[in-house]
Amino acid sequence: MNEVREDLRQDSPQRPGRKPHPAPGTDDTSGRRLLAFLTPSAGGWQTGLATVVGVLVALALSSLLIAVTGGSPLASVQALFQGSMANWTAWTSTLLYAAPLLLVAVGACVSARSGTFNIGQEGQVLIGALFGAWVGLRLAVPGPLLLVIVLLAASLAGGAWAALSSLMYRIRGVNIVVSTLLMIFIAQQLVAFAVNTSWLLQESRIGDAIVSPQSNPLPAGALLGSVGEYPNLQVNGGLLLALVGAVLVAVALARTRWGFRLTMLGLNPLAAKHAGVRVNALGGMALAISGAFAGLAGAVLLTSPVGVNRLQSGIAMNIGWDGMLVALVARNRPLLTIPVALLFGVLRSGGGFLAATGVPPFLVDVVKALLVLAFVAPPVIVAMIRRRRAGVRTARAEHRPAPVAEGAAL
Amino acid sequence: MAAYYRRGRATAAVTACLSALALAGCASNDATAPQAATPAPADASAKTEGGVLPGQPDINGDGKVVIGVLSPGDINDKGYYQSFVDTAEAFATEKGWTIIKRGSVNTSEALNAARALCQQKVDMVALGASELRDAIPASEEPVCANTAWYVPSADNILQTPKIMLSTDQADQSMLAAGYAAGLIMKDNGDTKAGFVTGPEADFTVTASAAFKAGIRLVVPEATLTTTYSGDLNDSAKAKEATQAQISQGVKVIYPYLGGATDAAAELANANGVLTLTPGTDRCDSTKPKFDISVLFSPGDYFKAALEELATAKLRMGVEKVWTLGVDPFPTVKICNGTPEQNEKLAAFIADVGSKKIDTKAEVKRLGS
Repeated sequence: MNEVREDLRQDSPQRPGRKPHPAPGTDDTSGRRLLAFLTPSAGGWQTGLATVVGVLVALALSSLLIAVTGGSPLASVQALFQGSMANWTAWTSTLLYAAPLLLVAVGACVSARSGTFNIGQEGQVLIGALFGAWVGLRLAVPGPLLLVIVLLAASLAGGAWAALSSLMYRIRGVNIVVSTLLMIFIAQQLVAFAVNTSWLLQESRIGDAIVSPQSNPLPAGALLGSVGEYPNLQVNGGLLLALVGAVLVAVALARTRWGFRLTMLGLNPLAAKHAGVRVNALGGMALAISGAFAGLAGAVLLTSPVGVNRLQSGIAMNIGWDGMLVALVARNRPLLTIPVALLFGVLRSGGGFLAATGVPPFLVDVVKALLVLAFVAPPVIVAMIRRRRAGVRTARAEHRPAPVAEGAAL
Repeated sequence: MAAYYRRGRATAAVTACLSALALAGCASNDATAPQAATPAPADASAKTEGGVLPGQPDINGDGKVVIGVLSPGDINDKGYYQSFVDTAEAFATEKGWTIIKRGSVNTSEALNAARALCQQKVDMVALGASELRDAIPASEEPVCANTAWYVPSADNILQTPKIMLSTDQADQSMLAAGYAAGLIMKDNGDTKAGFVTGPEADFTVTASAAFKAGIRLVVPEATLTTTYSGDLNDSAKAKEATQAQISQGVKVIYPYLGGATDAAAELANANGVLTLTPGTDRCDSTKPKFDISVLFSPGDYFKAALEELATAKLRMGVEKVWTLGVDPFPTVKICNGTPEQNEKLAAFIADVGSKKIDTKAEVKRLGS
């Protein structure tokens, strides 16, 4: 009944002077093209081979860069291993980083499935952390309930922030890729304003001390607990949240009617619309869910031991960007994001150890970028080669003289 | 129809929950503030914890001395942040110790960065600036059990038995810097000065106010134009701000910056505008040239702690306060000052040291 009503609404005459814009994913061709370019189909053994070659090339280039900057590639690999996997302490650090990365990546999978390319996760992480911090510091609510409210508030805020892009597209046709990107800068300014404004969230001044642009620490009741104790293996609640989220999303996408509709919308929005899918609502909701996961990642950064349990301008730590890369490397498959997020967690926690080898830590980001390219580029290149070969074959067939039957000239 | 009712009830429930949350939001910001800093006892060794850690300088007893340095800024800025690392490196090289240095550490990652150093079995974790104070909780964790901690303080850091605090009062050195600039401005007949810095944060606003107050102690009618470029290390923004101030006719510019200091100072030099250093002694520098060196380098403070570590006298749970006119640092010197200027400046510094001049009161009176 609802679907029929939606169709009727779409067919009803619009107010003069107002041009309606289709749902996210139906006409946002730039985002759709970009998404298709970055997540092509698997492509068979050639793609697998090209990926292996790509990873080897990436590792060779990384070694070269490390050597050029005066470091030892072997020592760097050892440092990465020691900082991320050598003992339980290192594993704890890796898992702490993997949790927010996984949350962002799972959200990115949802929006990508609907054909909407959300690249504003960094801003959504910030907004989630901002609202989480405000709620955590201002609500006089006891213990675990406060934590639940902080997580919920962060998710809602992140979701609402992403939904604004959907709304802008619906009302004014603003490109979603562009708007989600630009909203990051607004989010950064909002957080900077909040932590620099004494009546909002800036830390309290003690005596005549100089205050920093950050909030007070969150109360103990608002912090995510852990199983185990540092420096032994510590599994934080944030990781459990992220894992549950990944499994739920994977099941929902694969086994539910909602997931089927979302996939249909992503593959062919027009067909989905004709099949009765409420494309406007579904596309917008996918973007909002993606933002909600990013907002939740912001709350995890705020409340888990991975951060310092305060709101700071740099709290996002590029987790939004890296989470999006995790989704891209995992080809937007929620369950595949789990090992990829772990790999990125390894690079992050191991990166802290690189300082001892004399290698600048930012080189870890270069290595990450090369690895992402190694995973994303091969299917695109294979597809391009196939298209070119197919084009050449078609051209040859067109230029070949048509076979003439014997005696036809007679 | 029933669906509409269900939707309405759901909306009402959500609204009610949000209203309840908003109404419950009664905690003030100060309710979540950490407790006031506790002053360190005169005799720290009397405490059950803290005091002199055994085995110095090889505190963890692994046969080698490793100093881990974390800095929130660019450790190649030729100024404030670099001085800290340079001091540590020079001292370590002399003693045959190892240094692990990491610059541009995001304040949100301070805790994990400190843990990583402890995992690498450093004997001392040294924070390059108080911005990284959120790393301090790691000092209580077992992973950092056999590690000394050196923390530059800004009054809002809680003293614990596990850390050594090193504090200076920024308003003292900045007031003296302004006083020195005022002496030159008075002799040159100038009344316009400029202050170029990064973000409009509490530490930059306070520094600007103290600098202005110092100038006005000598030139009461002086004006100070302050520009916040937003970034301590962005040379392009710093040059833009400096150029704007030069166009407004300022004759003295204080580039209170990090990595962008030299770019701003060179531009000031090219236009015949006097400059001051943000923390280090660069009177010998020719490109860029500085006219006043304001010495509040964290490296100078850190060296004293390293010397104590080398002689097994470094105490945890204490605070070392560096006072202008009492300790060798902080201090201010005019690079090519006249005897009269040098004499007046020395007298001013001595008066601050003897508390004849109440720096906080002067900043409050003249810095607004």
